[in-house]
Amino acid sequence: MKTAADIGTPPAEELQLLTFTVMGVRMGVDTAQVGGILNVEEADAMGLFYSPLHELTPFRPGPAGYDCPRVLLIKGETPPCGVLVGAPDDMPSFCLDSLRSLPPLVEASCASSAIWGVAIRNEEVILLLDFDKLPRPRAGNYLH
Amino acid sequence: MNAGEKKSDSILNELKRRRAGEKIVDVEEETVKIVIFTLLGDYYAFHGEDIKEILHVSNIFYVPGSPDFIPGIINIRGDIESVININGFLGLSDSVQTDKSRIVVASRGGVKSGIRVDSVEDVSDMPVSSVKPALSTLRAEIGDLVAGELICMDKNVTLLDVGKIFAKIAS
Repeated sequence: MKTAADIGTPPAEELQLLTFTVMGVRMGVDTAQVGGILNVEEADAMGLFYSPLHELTPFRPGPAGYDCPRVLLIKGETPPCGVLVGAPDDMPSFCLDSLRSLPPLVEASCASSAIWGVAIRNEEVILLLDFDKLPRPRAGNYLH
Repeated sequence: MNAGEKKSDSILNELKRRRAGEKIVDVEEETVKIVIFTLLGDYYAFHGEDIKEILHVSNIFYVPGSPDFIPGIINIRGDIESVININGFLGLSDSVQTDKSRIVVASRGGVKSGIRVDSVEDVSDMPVSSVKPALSTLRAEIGDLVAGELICMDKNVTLLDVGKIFAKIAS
């Protein structure tokens, strides 16, 4: 299990993301909101409450496949809870100039406020996820 | 001819006088630029002044939680813009993406967005007088989005109001 100390503190004027993919969508969350990364067996052994991300923010209907699923602990939550995502693959830092807000028509009509912006890396578009704006996982979990 | 005036000068002056008296009747009719596109075989148009560029359909990145009429966002040289699908607003079923599909990037009132269309057929300067008011028989939800109608390329073309489309989405 990785800890918050492992993830580190990003420098000022930069946002460090933990990036992952959920149902084909590239996403990233501020590492400061992540308390750790668990595999599913570890999360189950701890009796952790966790939910797959597509149940916490509305994805379009489709196969809910998670590649190498991992549970991201939401930092500072008591009791501890987590969000199931595809395996985190990187922790890039983005200067604020490379971040964008959502376009106004998306912002005005999007059913989830948890997605708050976009990071651009080369041609890649990464949606920014705010754990603080996600509904909290309920008891029970996804893979069982 | 005045005394002492050379004949050539006299003729030239007369020509100038007559020329100055001619009434200029060469009036250019006011035109409006329109971008004509298709959706499921029907012809529609936007005012050219609202259209910033026309793009091939490339990567559209889905945003979870966005409504069905927003298939996602695109990266235009580092700027992130929405892409909207207006078929539903016009009472049309969804289009199938083809090689002719385009994203028309429109801007009005500080709002900018891509609009997915089946094809862009033409960009034309049309006489303002050729744009007729929309038929009052149009269904109310469509009529709200229509700025007028015209005949172009022997087709009935429905001129849509980008601002009203944006306002409908934002409301």
